Amino acid sequence: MRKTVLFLWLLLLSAAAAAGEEQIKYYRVDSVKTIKGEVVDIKSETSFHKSDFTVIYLKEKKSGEIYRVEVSPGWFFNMDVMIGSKIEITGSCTVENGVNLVMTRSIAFQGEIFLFRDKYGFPLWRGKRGQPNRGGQGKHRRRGKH
Amino acid sequence: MDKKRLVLLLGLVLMLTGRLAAKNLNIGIDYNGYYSDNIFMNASAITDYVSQFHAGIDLSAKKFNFYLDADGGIYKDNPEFNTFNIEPGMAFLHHLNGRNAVRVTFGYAVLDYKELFSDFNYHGPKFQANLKIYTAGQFILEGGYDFESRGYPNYDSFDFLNHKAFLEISRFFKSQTTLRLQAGFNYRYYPHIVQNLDFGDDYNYFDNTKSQGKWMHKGPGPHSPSGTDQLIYGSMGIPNVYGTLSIVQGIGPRVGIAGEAELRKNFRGLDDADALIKNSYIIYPYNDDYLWDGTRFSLAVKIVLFKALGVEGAVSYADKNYPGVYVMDAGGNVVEPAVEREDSLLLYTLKLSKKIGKLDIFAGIRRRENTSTDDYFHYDMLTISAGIGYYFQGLK
Repeated sequence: MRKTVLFLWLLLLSAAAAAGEEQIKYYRVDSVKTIKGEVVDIKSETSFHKSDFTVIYLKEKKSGEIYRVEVSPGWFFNMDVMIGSKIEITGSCTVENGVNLVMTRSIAFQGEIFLFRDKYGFPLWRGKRGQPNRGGQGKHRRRGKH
Repeated sequence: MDKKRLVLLLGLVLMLTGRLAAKNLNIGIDYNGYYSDNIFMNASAITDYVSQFHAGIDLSAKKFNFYLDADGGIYKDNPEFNTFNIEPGMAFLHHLNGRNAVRVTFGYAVLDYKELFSDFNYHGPKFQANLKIYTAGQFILEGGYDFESRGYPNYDSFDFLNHKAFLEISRFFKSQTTLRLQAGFNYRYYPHIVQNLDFGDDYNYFDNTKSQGKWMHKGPGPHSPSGTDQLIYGSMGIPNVYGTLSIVQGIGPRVGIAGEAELRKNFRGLDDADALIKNSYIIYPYNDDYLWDGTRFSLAVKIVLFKALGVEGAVSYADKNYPGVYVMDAGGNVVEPAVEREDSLLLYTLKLSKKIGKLDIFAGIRRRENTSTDDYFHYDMLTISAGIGYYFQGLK
C-alpha cells in the first residue's frame, strides 16, 4: 500500500513538473527556410514563458500545410498584417508533436520587410521594451511615429 | 565626503549601471551624410555637404522606456547653420488585449544654433499619445495627439504652442489592398508676437516686463507717454486641417505599390504671420505645412530584393498656395500689384536600405523641381544621401 502511494506521488510530481516546464526551443540556423503563404489567424499565445506572444497561423501556398509562426512579444509586433494577408516568412523550422513550427527571423508584406531576429536567431526585441519594431528598411529610430 | 567613500559610491554606481546595461540599456549611433546642390531650396542654389550625427541611449524598465537622444548637424560650407540638439524623455507602451496598444511619450527638446542664428534656439516640452485598435472585419483604427511647446529665449515672437490631432481608419481587403483614410487638425498658437503699433487704434499687448508677463489693453492714443518706443505684443493662432486617402496594393509579399492624395486647408490667411514665415523660410524650408493650402499626390513602389535589400522609388506632385504670403523683391518688399505665392512641386526619390547584423545602411537620391510665382522659390535641387547606424543591444 505504502509503495503504491509513493508511486502515485512520484507520478503526480513528475506530471506537475512536466506541465510547468515549457519545452526549450532553439533557433537553429541550419533549419532556416522561407515560406510563402496566407495568414489564416493571428493570436496572442504563451511562448517562451511570455503570455503575450504574437503567433501567426500561416497556410503555405504550395503545400497547403499550416504553420504555427512564433513572431515576437506583442508590443514589438508592429505590422498591419491581417487575416488573408499574403506574406513571406523566413525562420527556423521544426516539427513538434506533429505541428510545423517556425521561429521567425523576418516577415515581408506589401513590399516591406520587418526583422525580428538576427541571422543567429538572437531576438531583436531584447532590451527594447516600449519600442515597437520600426521595420527593416532604413527606418531610423524616431520616437512617436508609427 | 572622503576619497574612499567617493570611490566606493562611484564603484556602486558603475556596478549598478553595468547590471542595468547588461539587461536593458541600449545605445544607438547613426551617421548620415547629405550632399545637396541647393541646400536651402531657393534660387540662391547654395551647395553644401551636411553631416548629421545621432547618439541615443535607451533604458527599458517594464512598460517604460527612458531615452536620451543627442543630434548634431554640421554644414561644411555654412557653419553658421550648425546645430546641436538634445532630448531626454520617456515612452510608455501599454499593450491592451489582442494587438491593441496605447503609447504615450514625454520629452523635452533643446536646440542650439551658433551665434548668427541663435534667435532660432529653442527649448520646450513635447507630449505624444497614440491609440491603435485592430477591430473585427479587417479594420484598424488609430488616433493620436501631439503637443509641443517651444520657447525661443533670444526672440520670443517665435514662441509657439503646437497641437496636432489625427484619426485614421484602415481597411484590409483580400485582394491585398489596404485602404487608409486619415483626417487631421493642426493648431499653432503664437502667444506674443511683436507687432507694429497702429496709433489711434485699440490694442492688446503682452507686457513681458512683468515677472510672468501680462496681457494689457490700451485705448486710443500714443502707446508711450514718453514718446519712446515700447514693444507691443499680439497673439495669433493658425488652424490647419488636412485629409489623406491612401491605397497600398501588395503584389506578392515583396512588392507594394502605394498611391496617396492629400488635401490641405489653412483656415486663416498668413497676413501678419511673420514669425511663422521667418521660421519656415530661414530655418525650416522643408517643413512649411502651416504655410500652404492645396493638394498633393504621390505614387511609391517598394520592393524587397535579394538578401532583404529594400528599394523604394517615389514620385509626388503638389500644388501649393500660400494664402497671405506675397511675392517679394530681393529687398523683402512686396512687389506691387501684390500677388500671392503659388508653387508647383515635383519630387522624385529613390532609396536603398539594408540591415547587416546590427548595422542599418541606406543610400538615397532625391530631386525637387519647384516652380513658383515668386522667383526666389523657382529652383531645382538634387540631394544625394547615405547613412549608417549601429545599435548596441543589452543582453538579458
